[in-house]
Amino acid sequence: MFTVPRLLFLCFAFIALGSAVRMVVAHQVFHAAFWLILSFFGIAALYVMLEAPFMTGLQLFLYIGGVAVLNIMAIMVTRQMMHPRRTANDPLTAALMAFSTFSFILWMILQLPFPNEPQVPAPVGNLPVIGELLVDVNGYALPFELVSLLLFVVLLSVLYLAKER
Amino acid sequence: MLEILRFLSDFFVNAGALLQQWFHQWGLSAAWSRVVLDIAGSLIIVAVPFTAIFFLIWVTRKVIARIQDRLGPNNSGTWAGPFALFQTVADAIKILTKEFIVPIGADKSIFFIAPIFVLLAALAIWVVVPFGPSGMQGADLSIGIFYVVSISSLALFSIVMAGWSSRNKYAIIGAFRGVSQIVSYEIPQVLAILPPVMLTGSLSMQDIVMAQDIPYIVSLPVPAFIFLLAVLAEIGRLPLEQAEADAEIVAGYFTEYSGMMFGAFYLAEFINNFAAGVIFATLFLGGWRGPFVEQIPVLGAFWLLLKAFLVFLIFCFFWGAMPRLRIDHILSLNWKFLVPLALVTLPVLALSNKLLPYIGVTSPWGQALCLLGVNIAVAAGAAWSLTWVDDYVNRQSEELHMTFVMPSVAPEFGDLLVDGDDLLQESS
Amino acid sequence: MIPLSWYLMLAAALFCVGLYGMLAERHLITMLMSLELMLNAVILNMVAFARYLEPQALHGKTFALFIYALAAADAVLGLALTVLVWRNRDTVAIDKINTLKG
Repeated sequence: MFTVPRLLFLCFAFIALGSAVRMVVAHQVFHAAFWLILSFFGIAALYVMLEAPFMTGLQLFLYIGGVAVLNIMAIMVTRQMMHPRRTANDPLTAALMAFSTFSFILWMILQLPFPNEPQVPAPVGNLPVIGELLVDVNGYALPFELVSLLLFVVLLSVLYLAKER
Repeated sequence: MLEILRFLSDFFVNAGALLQQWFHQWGLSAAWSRVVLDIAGSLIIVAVPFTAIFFLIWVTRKVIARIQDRLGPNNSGTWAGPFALFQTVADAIKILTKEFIVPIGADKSIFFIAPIFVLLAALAIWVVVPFGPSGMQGADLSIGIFYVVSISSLALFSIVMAGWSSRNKYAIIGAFRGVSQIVSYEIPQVLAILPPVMLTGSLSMQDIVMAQDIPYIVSLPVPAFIFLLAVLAEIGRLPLEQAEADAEIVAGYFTEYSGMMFGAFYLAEFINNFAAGVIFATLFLGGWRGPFVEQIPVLGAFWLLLKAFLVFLIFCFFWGAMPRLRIDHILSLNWKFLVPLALVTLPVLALSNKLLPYIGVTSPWGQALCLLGVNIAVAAGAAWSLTWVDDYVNRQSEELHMTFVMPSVAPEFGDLLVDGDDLLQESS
Repeated sequence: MIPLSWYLMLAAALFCVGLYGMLAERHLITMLMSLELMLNAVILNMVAFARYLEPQALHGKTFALFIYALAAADAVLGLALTVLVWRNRDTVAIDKINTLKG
């Protein structure tokens, strides 16, 4: 039942989930940002277990090195760091909603016959294939270009927003 | 005798095989002997940067003292020993015996995690560094160089942690500067890594080294230059050292650290400097390749460390000789010069590399020289446009002198390259 | 090996923690952080599906790449807006930003 990979999975899952919970209940916003980062680390470790090293790199580079740092910068700029955190009027309703969603998804997962093992050994070096798929006309060329357009628009709009007026 | 020499020539691989054989004889299962060998290997990998910096700190002190004409480390008559060799020991003892001081308002948990984190991030890069042909590498990850980029973006994080948790104005200013500088310079860094990766067709560090029959610095000097400047900003060395500008904000983000916690930052800084040299050597100088490596694989580590040391010396000379750029100048150097240059270089190189076989250039040297020509053309174009912009700004500022424009309008003219405030100061 | 449903349950749990944060928060930045947690749960789902159900593990990862790009875009834009709101109104608590309320 509890083989080494399973124990490792449980360990990383505990890190990811535990720190996510700590994030939403942390007293200081700044600490919440750090719990979020620990949660990202746990998920990055799970990508290693899923034999997707490129996703691990992306998780570290984009989420931890990019988005999380932006969060912290925003917290520091808005000077909210030492303020005790307040939640909305009834966190109980929110918890109830979240829990009912979770039970519904859980029920669905348990209904469906998911495999216990991966079907095939992990493909090695399929990164170039993904790269070609991204620019293939029959693959994802259109969404890829749309995403680049979106990022460009975001860049321009953030520049506009950040301009001193 | 010959046997011993052969054993020594590929010492690490042979020793690993021998140990595995012994473990097998002692009745250890294959999995456990693997674990033991992995732990031993990682200890060796960690030992490399730590022993290297012991020497590098001494070199830095000597070089800087020589440049700045200071007695200290160059005064061989003191108790620091011949050639001041024990200067590092003296530093270590001084740092170890100092008291830990935690500021009253500090956020204690984050304050203590930051120095550990910075050391971890500095050491994690060494996992993928190839020290030799095969077997002399922590792990030949398929995403090698991308792993290096992601880990180096973690260093950012310890800066934020240290800067925020110390509850100190200087620390938080240093953190802000460090973050804005490092985040911006990540873009030209990644764009400069792409050409070698493109020519190799792989992200793995070992593949990049194997592809360099001619070191990439010959065929890609412009990306090498961009990478050198970007990495200089990432590690925060002197012309681009605003996160810890010691003349303005005490010590930047680690102002409040003392004792061994300060030591952790200091060590991590040197490890990062040396790691930057190692990565530069691997990407552009041919890594472990050099004379006689085929016969004696252990020599690979020597060549790699020698090349890295030369890059480190360049950093040292910069440190001794350069003034400190202002933070907005650092950022405009990035956004107005390095990023456009890298953005132009990458597609031009990709196109010309694809076109080369069609015009009949297939030999490796011919390819390298053609790419060198393209690089020189790009560099000349960049230099020409810089002089053009410079002329333009000068003409504008002359007009400014003559027509006496109101100060509030003036910065917009100068914004192109020189900052507006400088022009105002000159005109007033 | 690990059953696929374990990954899915973990992703569902992460998603719901993010959902709780989204609903219970008053602070704009922590709301964005919860949103990122939810997106991460989705990406974890995608990668797990790609590993277990796809022989080449291509399309799931490609989808995950797109989600990464969108997540980066929304984080950047959201935080820029947050800073702008803070600059104009001196607060980032969403119950204070109610000028449009009748």
